[in-house]
Amino acid sequence: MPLPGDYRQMNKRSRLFLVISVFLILFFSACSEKKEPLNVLEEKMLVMGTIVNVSIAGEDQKTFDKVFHDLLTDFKYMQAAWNPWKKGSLARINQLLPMQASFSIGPALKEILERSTELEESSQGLFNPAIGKLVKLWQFHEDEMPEGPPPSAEQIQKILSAKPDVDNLTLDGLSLKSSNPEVILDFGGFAKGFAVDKAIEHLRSLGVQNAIINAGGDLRAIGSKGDKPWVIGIRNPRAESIIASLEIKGDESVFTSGDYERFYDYKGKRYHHIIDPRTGYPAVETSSVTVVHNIASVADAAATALFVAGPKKWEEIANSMGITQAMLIDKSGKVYISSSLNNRIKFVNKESLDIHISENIIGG
Amino acid sequence: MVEQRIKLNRIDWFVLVLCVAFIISLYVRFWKADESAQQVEILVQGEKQYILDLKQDRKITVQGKQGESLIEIKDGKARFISSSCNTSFCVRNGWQQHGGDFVACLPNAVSLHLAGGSKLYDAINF
Repeated sequence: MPLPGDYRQMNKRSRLFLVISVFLILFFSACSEKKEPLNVLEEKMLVMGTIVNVSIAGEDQKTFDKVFHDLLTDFKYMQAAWNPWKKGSLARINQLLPMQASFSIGPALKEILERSTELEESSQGLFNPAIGKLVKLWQFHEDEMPEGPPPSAEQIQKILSAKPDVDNLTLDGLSLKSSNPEVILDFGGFAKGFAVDKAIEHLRSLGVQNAIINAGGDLRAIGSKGDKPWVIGIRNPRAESIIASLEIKGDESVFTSGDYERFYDYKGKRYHHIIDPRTGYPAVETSSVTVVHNIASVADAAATALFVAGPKKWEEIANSMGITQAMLIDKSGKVYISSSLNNRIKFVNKESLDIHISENIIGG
Repeated sequence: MVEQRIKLNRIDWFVLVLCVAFIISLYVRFWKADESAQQVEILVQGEKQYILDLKQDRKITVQGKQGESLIEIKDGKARFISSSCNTSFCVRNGWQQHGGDFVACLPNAVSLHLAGGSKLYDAINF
């Protein structure tokens, strides 16, 4: 093997041979590592009280249109079925529950009820799907934003003292019975995630490998853009700018609960939609919580639970829910982040942020 | 030390040209200018009602679910000036200018989506 110093001693033919070999090696090594970028198609729909954005990479327009249409039908169905008050299967259940007698429910609702019960337990009750009455009292159950006034302390106390909890429900096969007249189911902190999981399941069954379903800012992404990973921008809760970006690895959900999503100001005070099941009032210490987890419904419920938990208790709840990647921004703008999320997230303007890395989250 | 001049022969030149061409081809393939969005799509109740050029400054009134929304397009950017809603979240969002940016007035079911140009993010989480 001639060394670079020997290069000039080589004859023309060997030089040419050497150069071409080097190029061929470079060319083929580039080919094997560099994946081709896939064409990304995108469309949005107005459903479930929000904008759902569907991005799919590597499929033709015809497939995309079919998939999009299927998803729209599915989302519309879920929107109607899971509304706690308007005609649909959940509204029917909520009408029957206070009578405290057994009645039968559909298999789809059995699944969502069981999943949310598990999450209620692992969140130590901070995610509570049985407080539909409280949510209605605060008027955050409608698509329209309420204007206030906030409910009276007596009204809140009346519901709270009955301790509505999914434990008050007995599910035997497809037969459901409640033992607490104050229990009304509202899957608000979880339905969006559950719907996104169903949509991704549906896409996979249709053979789609690379996609993002973004339901009003909460999303699950699978696959990649071919040559590059999907890149997610996370919005700053206190400014209309991006606080950080995250590259998705294979199959992940990114869910954020924020006090800026649904709220009203009444007599100079702000009331938002994330109700603390312990106090009956909007949780006060947190601005936003972002959770990264592979299952969207878990990420959704966890974002709600960690928001309610606040900066003092969020690590404990993250551990009991098995969440390793999370970020909490408190009312003063202080950023708390698990170390595993901190290792991969890219903050846009790190110097301007007051970041505290949490070492107490197991696996985090 | 004696300065040694290296004489380039035809094959050396050929290799040099090949190298330069290779580097240029890399630029052509991978370098993309960071462009602002080109168009704004206005959706009303989920239906695409307008696709407007962002280079043409104008104001447009759109009839939404509850009432009217006034939208402004200026210098390649778009925003809500006013909208029929009690939160005016859409108005406070201000100007949008990158491809993929969007702002919605959910109570009035009107939303603006910027298209074209390069996208920094594939999706925005909030």
